[in-house]
Amino acid sequence: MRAETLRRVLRGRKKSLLGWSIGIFGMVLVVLLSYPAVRDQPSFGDLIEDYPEFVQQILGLGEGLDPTSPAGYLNSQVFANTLPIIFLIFLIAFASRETVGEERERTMNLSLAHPIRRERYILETLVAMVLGGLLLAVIGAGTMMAFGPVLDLGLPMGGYVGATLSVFLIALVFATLALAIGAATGSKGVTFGVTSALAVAMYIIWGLAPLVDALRGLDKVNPFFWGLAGTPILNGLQVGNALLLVAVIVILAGGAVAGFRRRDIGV
Amino acid sequence: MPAIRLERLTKFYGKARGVVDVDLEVQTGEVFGFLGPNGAGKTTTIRTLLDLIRPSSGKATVLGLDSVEASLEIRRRVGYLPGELALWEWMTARQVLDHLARLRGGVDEAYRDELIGRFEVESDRKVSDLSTGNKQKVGLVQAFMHKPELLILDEPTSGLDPLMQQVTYEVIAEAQRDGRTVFLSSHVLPEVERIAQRVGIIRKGRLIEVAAVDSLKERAVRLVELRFGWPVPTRDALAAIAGVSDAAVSGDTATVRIEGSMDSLVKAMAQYEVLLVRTHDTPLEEIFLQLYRDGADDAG
Repeated sequence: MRAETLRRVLRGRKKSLLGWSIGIFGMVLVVLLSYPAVRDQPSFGDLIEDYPEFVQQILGLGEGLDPTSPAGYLNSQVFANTLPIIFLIFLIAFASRETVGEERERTMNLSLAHPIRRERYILETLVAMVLGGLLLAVIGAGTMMAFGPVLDLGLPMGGYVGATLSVFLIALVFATLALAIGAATGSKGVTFGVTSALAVAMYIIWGLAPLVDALRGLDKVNPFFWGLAGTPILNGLQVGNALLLVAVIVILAGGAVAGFRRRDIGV
Repeated sequence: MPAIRLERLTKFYGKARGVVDVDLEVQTGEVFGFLGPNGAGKTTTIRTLLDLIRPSSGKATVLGLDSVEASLEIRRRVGYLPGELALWEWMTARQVLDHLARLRGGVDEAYRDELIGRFEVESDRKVSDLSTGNKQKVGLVQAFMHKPELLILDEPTSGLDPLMQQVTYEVIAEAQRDGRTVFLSSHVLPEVERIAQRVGIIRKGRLIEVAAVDSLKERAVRLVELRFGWPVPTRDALAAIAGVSDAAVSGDTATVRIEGSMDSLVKAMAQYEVLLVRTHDTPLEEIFLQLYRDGADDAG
């Protein structure tokens, strides 16, 4: 049997995917093309060095990167904030749309009256979401790989790929949580509320952790920490950290299946 | 083996009543009408059969299979038209049918195309551009296109024009001729009277009557209209006659509602000058409304 639900979900997201692809391409391109101007302006680095440590951390400069160096610049403009936020918005909306949205519009009722197991339905939806997000990741990383050398950034190709993939995995953790909550509750409010509150809280904790000893322990449960630790833009994908995030995603996917399997589908 | 068997099927949504203790058997090969006002529990019962919702207690067996344990197999062999049908707005009608056919597998393409023709489905138009009736036609095609053993149709003719209602009745009759079973819900009574052999009437979650359409009609309450010369009997005099449940007098014309034999009415009227007697064949609707009232009395 073909993955018909996966196909349907992706076809339904076609226009949205096109829009987000153009957006991410444009965003990355503008950031890249602005780099020469920043590099030639040493006051930019001085300015940021005067910022509080919290701001430096959420600018991705926590590991002592120079904001005017290519890696520091991309971390501060893309990987530590803009890109995770783009992935989070896109993926959480995707998860909510394909669970709560399908149920509310009653098309889920029709799908599930067909011979498809609920496990399969929700997992195909998850895979569609992963593929949709990967498309954006490929476009983002691809744009950097194409224009980085042109602008003489001197960063490794594995850095672009690794950093983009890491950030994608961070967002995917929250999106899979959204999928699980949407599948288990059918409530848009709960899905968006819990997931975005948790994402914002984790982001802030990640920003504050270097300053507040009490928060440091929380790094262990923070996807932002595991995704951005080890400076992937310089060192490539941190495989151990990435696998940890993947493991969390798999567990959450199991939760989505369990929550969806035994409950009543709404009309 | 019955096509559908419900044993003390009960469903509560939290504290809200869905259906309570419904016992019902639908025989293979029959067209069974499931009647009741909106909110009575028709859709709840139907969605339980497809495992979209699970019983709070009791059980449902479909094609001899447990509705929860063997749901996948049931869904493979059943065609379902949801009440308040929803289709993906961004697809064309053809894309919807293609998608559902692939999701299901085993669709008879020639028959599907025949149905598209007979229902005059505008297959190249987007669902978002289709009227309610035209969407309903797409829903009917998808329910029938794989020639399922059992058709579960929730308000099948809702939104259809009379011509398309007729096509629906024909397709249902053909399915029955092929030995397939049809379980349909409706609140349009003449429709059920016309196509079903048996009806079940559900009210406030409880099945209050299961009967053959014919026997229901025999038990019918008749409406009799009488025109008199002079004098005209009083309303009270009419109401006192055995079997009369309701009487009204307006000018020289009286209208009485009578159950069972008309003998006592005819004999009592012999003393008056009767100019005209007109009896109305009771539509199922009247029977239904009466059962509904009786049920309400029980509850009250």
